[in-house]
Amino acid sequence: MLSEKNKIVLDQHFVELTNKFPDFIKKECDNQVVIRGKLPFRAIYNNETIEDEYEIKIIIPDDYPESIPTVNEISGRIPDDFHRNKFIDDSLCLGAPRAIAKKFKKSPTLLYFVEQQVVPFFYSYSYFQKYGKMPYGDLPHGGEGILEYYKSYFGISDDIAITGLLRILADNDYRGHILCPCGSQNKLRKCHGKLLIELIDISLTKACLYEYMQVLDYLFKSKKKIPKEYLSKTIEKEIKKIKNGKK
Amino acid sequence: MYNEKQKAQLNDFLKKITEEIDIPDSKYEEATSRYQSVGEWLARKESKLKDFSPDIYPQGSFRLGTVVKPLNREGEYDIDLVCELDISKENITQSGLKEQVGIELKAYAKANNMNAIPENKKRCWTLDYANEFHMDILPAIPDSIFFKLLLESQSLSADWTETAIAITDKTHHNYDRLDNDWPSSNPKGFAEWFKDQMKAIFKQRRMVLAESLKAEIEEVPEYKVKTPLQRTVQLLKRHRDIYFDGKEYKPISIIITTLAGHAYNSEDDLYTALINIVENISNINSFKKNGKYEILNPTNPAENFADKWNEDENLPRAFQEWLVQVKKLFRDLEQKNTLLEIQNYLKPVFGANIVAIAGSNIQAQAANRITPKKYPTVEIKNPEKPWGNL
Repeated sequence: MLSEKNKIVLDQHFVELTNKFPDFIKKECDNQVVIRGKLPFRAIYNNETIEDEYEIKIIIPDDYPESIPTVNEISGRIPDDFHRNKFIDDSLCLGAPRAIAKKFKKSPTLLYFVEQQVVPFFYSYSYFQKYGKMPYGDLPHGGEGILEYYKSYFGISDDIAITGLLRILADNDYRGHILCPCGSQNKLRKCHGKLLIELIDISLTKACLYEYMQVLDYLFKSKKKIPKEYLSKTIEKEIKKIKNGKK
Repeated sequence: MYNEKQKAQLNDFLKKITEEIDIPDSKYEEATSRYQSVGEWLARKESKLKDFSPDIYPQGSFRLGTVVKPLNREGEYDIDLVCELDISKENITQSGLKEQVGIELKAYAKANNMNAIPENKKRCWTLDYANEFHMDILPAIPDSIFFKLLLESQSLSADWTETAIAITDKTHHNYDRLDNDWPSSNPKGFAEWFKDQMKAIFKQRRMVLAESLKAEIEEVPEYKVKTPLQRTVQLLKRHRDIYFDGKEYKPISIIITTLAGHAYNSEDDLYTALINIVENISNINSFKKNGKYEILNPTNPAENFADKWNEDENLPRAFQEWLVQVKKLFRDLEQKNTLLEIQNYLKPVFGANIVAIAGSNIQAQAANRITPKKYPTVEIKNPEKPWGNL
């Protein structure tokens, strides 16, 4: 349930959204606020204009605008296996979880979300339909892509080392004195800790957890063994809770 | 059988296809201004040819309005031109004429910093405007009197002989000799004949265009007017290009154009014109006279476009087989109901790209007709790094 204060903010944002995209309506469903409607756009990227229209559903999180909304496509054009958040709700995967959460933070409004995060997703699908390739370059989807991104960021090529670093973000328990997961035998604070600290942002912890989960999923599929200390404490806790609840 | 709405839709689609294979107005105008500048060059004070009233004018498909995009050299059109000079055969040989024109063209190329020098071909000089067009310039002299006499001597007569010309040909036995016997041609005459076959429809279309542009009919340039006859010729040429791609015995355009011109009966819509014309020209036995194939130049009955058919049986056979396919194509097309079906059916025949563009143009047109859609503009900045394919 949205707090009163957040409801007022949401209403203001909704007005701003419908000024540009008039075909949206806001509804409350099972204690959740949902915005649905038609999203027509004439989007330009790198001098390539694509005009298209999709019907979408935006789910507003309870702590909006602290957290980023999720979006789903209801016109049935996007196939089930095209960039979805598998672990959560099959909503559209607009990018690496931490990255999109961070971007939303820059300007946490519905209009910005739709224009700079949702439209680019649909633009890329329409573009893909038209040209058979993705417009913004290429990274593999899901865990593999996240790994590649961080490998490049940290300058490390070892998947397991990256997992160790991402676990720290996911659990939000940075400790500078532990040995750096990269295997250099140096303390974290003297090694990749510096780069890691740049990424720390409490508000993005949930997103970091999602990223970490996707990486794990990918590594499990590739039959890689994860050292016990790199398994997320948060996830362990959640699993224990569920087990206890079942008893 | 087709209902009116489906027929209108199909006609629209075929029209959009011809628009895609035609030379765009902008390129046409550019080609025109280029050859006019060549004409000005030949008439300039320092030109050795200025005293012979040099006249450059278009011929062939460029003149007839039946240009089709070349299949392989993306975007390079072939523009056929005549360079007519008022000199008499008593004063110049074929080779002399060819050479004189060549000298001025080479000077033109140089003065305009063109990369390629004019090429000396069998009958013409070719100017290459890189990535834009090939201009084939045919040196010629007026020849109506000789031409008329020639026809009369063979007990033939023809209309449109006033514009007949004599041309040069490297392989001709008299190429280097002062002689009356030169190869002849009559591109202006042929164009007049072709235009005559579609006279009424041409005038009507021009009037409609003038009204829509709120202009006087004379202000509408002729090249902007397209009749079902011209469009039929374009579609047939394009179909032929794809059908015979990599194969031998491709029927020559002049045969297609002449036969279509004869068969056209002022049909007002493209689809009907196509069906009727193809039906009419597909029985090649009707072209036989005394056991020989004859497709005579309507402005020069001494010229038989089908003379090679009498030397190689493969040529008429390929022509007939091709037409059977075309007939089948349009008959089957009648069974297709949706735009998508039509599109998928025509893609392999006219080229996937062309048909796809035509299809999306139709949809855009329809969308605009139904509700003028408002598409909010979004400029995408720094999009999330891409996920590739799953």
